Amino acid sequence: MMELGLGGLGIYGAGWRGGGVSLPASTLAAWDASVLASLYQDTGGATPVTAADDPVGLWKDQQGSYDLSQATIAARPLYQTGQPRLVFDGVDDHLFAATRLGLAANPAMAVVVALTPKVTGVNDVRVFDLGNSAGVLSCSFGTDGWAWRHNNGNRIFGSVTFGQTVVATWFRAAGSTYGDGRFRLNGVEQAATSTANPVLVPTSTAAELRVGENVTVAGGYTPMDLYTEVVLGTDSLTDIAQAEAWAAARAGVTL
Amino acid sequence: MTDTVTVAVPEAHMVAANCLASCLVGQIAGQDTFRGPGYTSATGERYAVASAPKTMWTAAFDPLALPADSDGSVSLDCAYAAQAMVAYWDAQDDVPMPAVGPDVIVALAGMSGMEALAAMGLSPITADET
Repeated sequence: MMELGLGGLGIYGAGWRGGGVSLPASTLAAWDASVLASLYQDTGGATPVTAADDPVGLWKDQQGSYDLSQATIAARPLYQTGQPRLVFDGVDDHLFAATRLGLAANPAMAVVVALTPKVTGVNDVRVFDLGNSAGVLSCSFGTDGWAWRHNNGNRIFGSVTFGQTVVATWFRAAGSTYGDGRFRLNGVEQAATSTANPVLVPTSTAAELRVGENVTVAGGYTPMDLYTEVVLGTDSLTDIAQAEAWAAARAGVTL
Repeated sequence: MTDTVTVAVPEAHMVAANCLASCLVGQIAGQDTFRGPGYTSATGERYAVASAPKTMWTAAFDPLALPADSDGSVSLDCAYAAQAMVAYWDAQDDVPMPAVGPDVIVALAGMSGMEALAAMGLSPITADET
């Protein structure tokens, strides 16, 4: 099994740990709060995060290519120790990268996230949002439940237990419709409870990646603790399970 | 987190509040602190909200200076106009919490951002996004 992070993959090599669990070769990007060397208080990477409550202005991608940042000081999530994580306050905290991770409008992909969703009264807050306006690829939770969101359609899965740390995985095949979107919680696929505009397909090609913000809605910020977020360029269940095990180790979740 | 301050700015005073934020953080990039507005009160007034480190807002009543990278887009007059509207309250204070209103910038400390929004009676302006 290929172990990314060993040899020539930047800071990931130094920060790699996980009891033999590694990320699959299909990994496009991985942000890992347990790697302190990947966190900086400023966007330029001059001031490292060193202690609890330090703001995070830059979160470096473990693959080296897709760093997330936040220029507005007040909108930076805070680093927390214990099980290392970034705390997004749900008021204004979010991170951004001007990229599509090399993905087309309707790609095969999986987004594997270890997080603690916090209580919100909003039906749709975004964990991962790729693109802009209609036809985006967005991974969401809220009072509606876990969901794929596209801003002109959605697919909703079971309800959210706020405050419970989980590994959530949104995944989809290339060329699929909104009605084909799939979701796993702690390694178990969940049944969809509703779908809006199931025959539509994602169309946005905007190079905009947001974590913690729904840019199309004012006040659309996400209250969550985020341990790690991994994007795969595949919907392979083998790769997804491997990434889920990796993410679970970073959040202390038992799959 | 309890070491953050959550600040609600009436829509009409967002420009002034962003001038103040720029002075407090020492960068003109602070002008992006209050965006939106993204929240509304029970009476329908709209507010921009930001949650920032407590150390930033405890200096809100000190003499102000223009950001080091000032390009003329931030003025001290503008920042001081916002400063005059700030009502700072800590959960440990033994006085009533200030209420949001059209001419007050309420800054709440000692509670999380979500708790502060609830205490101020503000809720997100949401559309029926799908």
